[in-house]
Amino acid sequence: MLKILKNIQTKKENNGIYVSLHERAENVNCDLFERVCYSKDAGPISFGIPDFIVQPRNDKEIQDILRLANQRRIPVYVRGGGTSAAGGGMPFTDGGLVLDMTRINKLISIDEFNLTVTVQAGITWEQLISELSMKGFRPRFMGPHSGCSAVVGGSVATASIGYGSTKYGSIGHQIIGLKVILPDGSIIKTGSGALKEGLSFARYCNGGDFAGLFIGSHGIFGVVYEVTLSIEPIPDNVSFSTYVFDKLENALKAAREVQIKCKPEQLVVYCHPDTVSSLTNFEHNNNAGISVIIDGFSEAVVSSGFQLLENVMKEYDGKYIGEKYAKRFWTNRFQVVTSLMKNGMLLQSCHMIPPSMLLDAVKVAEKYFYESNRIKDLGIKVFMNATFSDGISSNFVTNIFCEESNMEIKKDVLGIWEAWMDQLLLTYGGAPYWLGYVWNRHLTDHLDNNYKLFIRKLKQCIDPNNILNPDSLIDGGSDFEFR
Amino acid sequence: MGGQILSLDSKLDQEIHKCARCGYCREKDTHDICPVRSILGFESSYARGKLYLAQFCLKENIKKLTPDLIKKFYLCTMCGNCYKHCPLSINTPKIINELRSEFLENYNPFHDPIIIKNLVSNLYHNPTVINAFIERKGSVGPRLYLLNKNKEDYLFFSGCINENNKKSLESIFDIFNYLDFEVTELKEHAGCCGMPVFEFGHKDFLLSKISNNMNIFKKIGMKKVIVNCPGCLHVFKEFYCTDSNIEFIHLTEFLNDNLGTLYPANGIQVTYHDPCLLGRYLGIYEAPRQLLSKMGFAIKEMPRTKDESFCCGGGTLSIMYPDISREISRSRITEAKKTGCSVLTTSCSLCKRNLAESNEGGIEILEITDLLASMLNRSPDLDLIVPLKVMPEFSGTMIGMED
Repeated sequence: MLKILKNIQTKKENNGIYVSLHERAENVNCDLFERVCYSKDAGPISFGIPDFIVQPRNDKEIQDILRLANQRRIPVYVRGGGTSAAGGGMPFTDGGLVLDMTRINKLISIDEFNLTVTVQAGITWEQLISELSMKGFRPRFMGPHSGCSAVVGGSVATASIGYGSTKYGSIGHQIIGLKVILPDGSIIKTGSGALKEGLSFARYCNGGDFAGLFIGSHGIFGVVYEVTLSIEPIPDNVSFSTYVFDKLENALKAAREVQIKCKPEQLVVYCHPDTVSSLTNFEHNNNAGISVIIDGFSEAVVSSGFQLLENVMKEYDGKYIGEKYAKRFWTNRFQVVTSLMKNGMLLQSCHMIPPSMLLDAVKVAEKYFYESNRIKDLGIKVFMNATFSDGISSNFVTNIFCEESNMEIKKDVLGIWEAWMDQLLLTYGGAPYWLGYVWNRHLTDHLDNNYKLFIRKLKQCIDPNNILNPDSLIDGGSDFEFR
Repeated sequence: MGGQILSLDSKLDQEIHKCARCGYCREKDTHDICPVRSILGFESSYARGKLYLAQFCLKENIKKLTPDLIKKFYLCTMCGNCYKHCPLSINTPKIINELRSEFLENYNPFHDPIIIKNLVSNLYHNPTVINAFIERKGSVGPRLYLLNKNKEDYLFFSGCINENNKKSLESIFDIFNYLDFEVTELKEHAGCCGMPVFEFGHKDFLLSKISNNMNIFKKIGMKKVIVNCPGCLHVFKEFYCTDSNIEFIHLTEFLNDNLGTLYPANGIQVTYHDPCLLGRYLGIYEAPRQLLSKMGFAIKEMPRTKDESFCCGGGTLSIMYPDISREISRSRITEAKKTGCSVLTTSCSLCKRNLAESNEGGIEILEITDLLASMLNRSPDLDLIVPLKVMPEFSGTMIGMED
């Protein structure tokens, strides 16, 4: 907060830029306290205060803004719902321009036969699901836990994992095509969309998977403007089940087998008694739990899937505790994590690991948080869960909650969180799909040099003035030579 | 940092820091949750941004709180929709109100001090808020009326808006008369309920009004007070009731309890706007709807209705930022027009006035009492007969009043 006052004055030279921006876009703001509001995402860290906020209304305004940014060498930070908990896309230092995409939020078209939907990047997941459901459809990937305010473009930028991921993988797996505004202001469509007819129905064509370039790259190569996603009709039948286990090892083996045999829509493993207890309203405190959602277009399909699930669970001593927990998890999907925030500030570490390493990862986490008395001493709460995703990887999440208003505790907990990131990377090679301030600093040392060089060359080629989300570039942005 | 720091009630301080910045106060499905955000668009216009700035206000020397910062907290209709959608139940309107109160006490806060100075001064020297609201000279304060039927007695608190709108007050009296209540004006004059200035953060004003008005209510000795203005009703219920057993009743609740089924208006469709203070604050959703049904109207709901209702843009915002207020009203009217109904009803005189001021035609905006009175009187003064034209002539025998 103190730095707000040090940066309280808008620089004089910014007046001219403000006028130029206003010539190019209608919604431009340089009010100090407005800018302050854009220095924070949903995480615990306050970032740099931008000089300008622009809320574009269309692609033309974005093109013009990017061209001006290139001329004047203004860093441009693209912001979606502002729900990242790790500083993804946030400015590390003061200055630059935030492009707030939340007004680019229309559903453009639904292709009911080819099963695609095309949306603008600023649409929230809740809005998309709501509009699709009116026609009897849903996206295969249904957004992250913060889907009431998280936007589709933000999920593209972070290669989001969430609801639907067990069956269909991350959002990346469900993207058919993108419309992207490049740093120089030119517009491209990827995949089949690159044809003059411009229809998005195939991703891997016309020379390569260039949608993949933008997925998970945190907006460093372009501003994602439109997204075409795969959809499916909403199944009529759903089964919800939750099982508890005395041994985490058994739960993880059972989860893997269920994923392969039953093809569930979603499968989540609760990896610690505290997590099981919290998610079952303190009715159970077993060492592990699993919630499974299986759906289909006939009762027979779903009940045979459920029978298969029962068989697997019995084999691994899983005890069925009813449908209500899984049902709540699924039907109130965007409220689950936010309701946990009653426990205080949230520090999350979402990252990918192979399912085979989950058991070791949980053991490391238990040792890190519990055996060292970190939780007890600071009064923090830690919840651990894993979502099995796309058949190959799993998303292991540790949610740390602490009292935010106590600055001393906050400082200590931030230190614990930061050190935990390193542990994750060092101990078993976990791979973050979020980038930004929190992860980048830890990731840089672990990445292969040739890979880093390759990313730099790409960035230099596509964004020679390094204007787009420069701080999200792996290997740090502040010392980046061509900025 | 030295110097004086704002101090809030510790519970509210904690609540401000509870915000997880999830952003669930921003939009719901295809709509903005915050009416101000729907017009201004940027972060500081809705609860997430305001709570972040509130944290700042609580950490800094009061002298650092510039008018630019403070005015952000006046860009709010206090509609309570953010509170409704907050997963952590953070009562942002209450926090904003407390901050306004602190600003007023500790600092000359207003970017346009003349407005607030005049407003407060008007209210102190004149028993009605209407002067401040519509700058009309010669306006009068709320009055008290005794309603009597057989041995049933009620007190009717007219509120400043109704008291200064003869037609609207007459409509209400016509309805009372129709229900066989004898209406007698009492010589005791009540003062402003305190709500509008309290919304600006002026706690003392409210406290003084509570004291005055409660003395009058107690002196009259009535146990049931009927109120038409949701703002008055809200403060009566929230702040006046603490040490009394007076029951405050909204007019639509009273009418719904006392009115039998009228001649069905052939299922003519009207749409209904839930006033924020009557709905989200007081939870009164059904009485106005049941009343409309009894009058024979079919209600075609707008997409945002009941506890999801979208504000009309009124309240303090309409005084401080009338342009933004009108934009919000226009958007609500557009939503009402999309129902295809030719009448937008409400049960708040302020909502009606606020919406009517932004109405560019194509829909009639009326209070339920206006509609009811016109059904009873076929009042030629009211330009609302559009939906009633198709009705057969009103006949007393067709009114299904019990007994």
